[in-house]
Amino acid sequence: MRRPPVNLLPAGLAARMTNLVLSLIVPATLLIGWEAAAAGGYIDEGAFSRPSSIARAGIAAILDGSLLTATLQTLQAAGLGLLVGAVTGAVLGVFLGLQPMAEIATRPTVEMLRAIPAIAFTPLALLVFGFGLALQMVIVAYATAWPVMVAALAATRGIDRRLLEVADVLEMGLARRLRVIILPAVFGRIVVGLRTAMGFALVVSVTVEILANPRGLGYQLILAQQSFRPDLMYACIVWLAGLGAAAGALSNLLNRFSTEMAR
Amino acid sequence: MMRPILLHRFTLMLLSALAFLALWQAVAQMGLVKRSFLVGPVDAFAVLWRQTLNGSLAASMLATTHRMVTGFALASGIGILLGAALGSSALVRRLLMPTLDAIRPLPASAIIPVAILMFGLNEAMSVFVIAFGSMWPVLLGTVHGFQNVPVGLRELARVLEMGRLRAFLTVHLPSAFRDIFPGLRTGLALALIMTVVTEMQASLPGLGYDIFVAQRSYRSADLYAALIVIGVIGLCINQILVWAERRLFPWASSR
Amino acid sequence: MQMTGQTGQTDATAVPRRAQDGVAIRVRGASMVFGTGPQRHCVFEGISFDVRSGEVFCIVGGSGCGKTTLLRQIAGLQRPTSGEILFEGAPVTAPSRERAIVFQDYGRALLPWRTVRANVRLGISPGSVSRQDAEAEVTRLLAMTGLAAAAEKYPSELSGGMQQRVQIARCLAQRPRLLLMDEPFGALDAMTRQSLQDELLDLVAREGITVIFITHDLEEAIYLGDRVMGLGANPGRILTTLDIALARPRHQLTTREAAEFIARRHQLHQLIVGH
Ligand SMILES: Nc1ncnc2c1ncn2[C@@H]1O[C@H](COP(=O)(O)OP(=O)(O)O)[C@@H](O)[C@H]1O
Ligand SMILES: [Mg+2]
Repeated sequence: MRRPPVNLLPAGLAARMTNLVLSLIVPATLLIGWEAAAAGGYIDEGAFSRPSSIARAGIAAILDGSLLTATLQTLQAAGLGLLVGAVTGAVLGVFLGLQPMAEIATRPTVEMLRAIPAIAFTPLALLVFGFGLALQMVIVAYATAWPVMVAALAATRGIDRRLLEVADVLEMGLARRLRVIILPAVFGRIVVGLRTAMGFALVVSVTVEILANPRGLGYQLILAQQSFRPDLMYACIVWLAGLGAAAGALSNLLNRFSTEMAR
Repeated sequence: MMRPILLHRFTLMLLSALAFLALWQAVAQMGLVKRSFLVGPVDAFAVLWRQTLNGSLAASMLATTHRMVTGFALASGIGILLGAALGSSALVRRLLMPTLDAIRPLPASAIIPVAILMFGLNEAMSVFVIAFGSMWPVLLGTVHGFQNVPVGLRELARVLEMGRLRAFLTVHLPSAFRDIFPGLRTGLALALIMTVVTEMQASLPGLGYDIFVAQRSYRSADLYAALIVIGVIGLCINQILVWAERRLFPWASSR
Repeated sequence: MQMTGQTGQTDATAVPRRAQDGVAIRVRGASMVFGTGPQRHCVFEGISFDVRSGEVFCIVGGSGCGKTTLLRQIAGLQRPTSGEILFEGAPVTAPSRERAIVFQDYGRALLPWRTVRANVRLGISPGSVSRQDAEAEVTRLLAMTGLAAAAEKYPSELSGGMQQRVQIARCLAQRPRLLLMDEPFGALDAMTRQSLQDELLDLVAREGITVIFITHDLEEAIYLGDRVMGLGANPGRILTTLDIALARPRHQLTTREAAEFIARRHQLHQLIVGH
């Protein structure tokens, strides 16, 4: 039977409490079972340290500042790479959107380059830039430029031709044309592309650190694994999940901001 | 501006692709950039030709594709089954969704060290990581699809007195598939990425490992060759998906 | 067969075509209330009526007076808050293939990924007949509903009228004893609507199905019905139930010009629209 949503609403607080309890059953069972199994010696603590030691390792890493330093390094590369990538992507997308011939001409090259995962360029970038911030930034920029470019291209192509004709009639210069017509028209969709790019930035940044770059959280993570500190490794993972959630929240905020702007 | 006709468009693309290759070759030969950084397409394709002849290219491509497909198949299976359960039952959703929402933001590659501890540096670890990384879009698409089966179609199943299994197969699954497919598409792209990453990390034979070896031994032509092959695989995946979409949703094309 | 009602004089004496032995649907004191407390909304209260076997029973009323809700209750998709509904003597508790329903929103009641033929085939109970017999039955129904040429098309490729035909064909494939229709032609243009009205009358006469037909169009109700029940709103209640003494088969021009038609239209208009 179709159940009208109004029936659920009056019991709002109670429903929220049940939801909370229900959602805690699985993680609580897992954590308690894990802790108990480890205490009883049923699982190998070399691979699965118990939740209590993970918490202890995490707190220690926060207190001695190592976790925060690594976080800043990861975020720095992700942020700067995103900035470079998004600006490049937006400029390229708007340009190609306004120049159909150029878009067709570059399409094979663009499609080919876009099909190569950014991470695959890590060894090449390592040859060129060596270890450090630049290596990571370049890979993040490469990964994040594409979604922004695709969004900007589609948005620019979707601009009503009559608007551009109006600009011709008014003999607007490029700068005015961009400011008055093009940017307002494409802003919303570029933000959508930017949100996808934001999702990529953190992942790619961490992945480059895991693969090659001796800095940041990814390196901490792999170091913890290689130096037989699974407790620290899991602490880093929990921390990273938190960072990912924060990035997601930021992305949602951006979304709300841009829809407010569009009104 | 006049809209170029189809033939012009194709010629333009072909010519510009050739021009791009020529430009690339010219820049590489001018020697402005160190040879270890930039290799021209002639050298890269020479490597590809050599690797084709001695069979190493086919071996690498096969290994990479096999790994990717295995991981992705696992991801699709789990993603669709779990997603169907989550999308069909509010109780399952309330039980599991918050936990999944807590794990999902974790950058997929962060699971690599855990997988190494669990499996060692081997095939199983790679497949696990690929499956973990590519499962999320499939799962989310499936949940969304099953949650959004139109009420009218659900009622149709009731009016026709369909049993649970028949309703699932004839109404719910096909209806949800419209949302599952884009998830599969994103998932496959992620699977390729995670394949390359795990090959690099665990030194498993395949294109990702070829890139790593080429860099360590400063054989840049080999590196470019492997990048080209990965790009071609990516393009092929896209083409196959475009084709599959047309085959699977003939009813949607006329909308 | 020659029309008998052309002058309007014989109308009053014309007898409804169908046998009136049994009762197909019996509604007893059905009420529908949504929500509780301050959000309580009573759609209709204490509605009772019978639908005879073999008749075309039309329900008219303004929008929001609970027509769809009532029909869903008869279909078994929804339970009345109080009261009961009997189908051939047995209480309705769940949907059944014997009571086919043509939904108002045709776009959402067909499987978009199945061809017209496959959508109609859905109506045939799986395992009830051999594959070949099923295909033959589907082909027969497609021809009967004017869908033969569209058999291999997808619903999205069809016009609204054709999609509604597919729904009707699927319902007939169910071999129902009762056909429930919720403003089936409401969203169609006038020409399509008229030809579908005639096709419907033709089909149900041939297959001998009882029909409950909902509409907000008074003329449509009179044209199609053996009886017309008028519903009022807030809360929904029965205003009247009229016998329509118009001969069958009916004819778009002459039936609508008959004195009986015009008299019933006046009567209903005054009761439902009020001025
Ligand atoms: N699920 C529901 N929850 C609350 N109110 C509903 C629900 N379904 C229908 N109603 C209300 O019942 C009334 C009658 O609806 P309906 O039967 O669709 O009328 P009709 O078909 O005559 O236009 C409307 O006022 C509508 O708002
Ligand atoms: Mg209605």
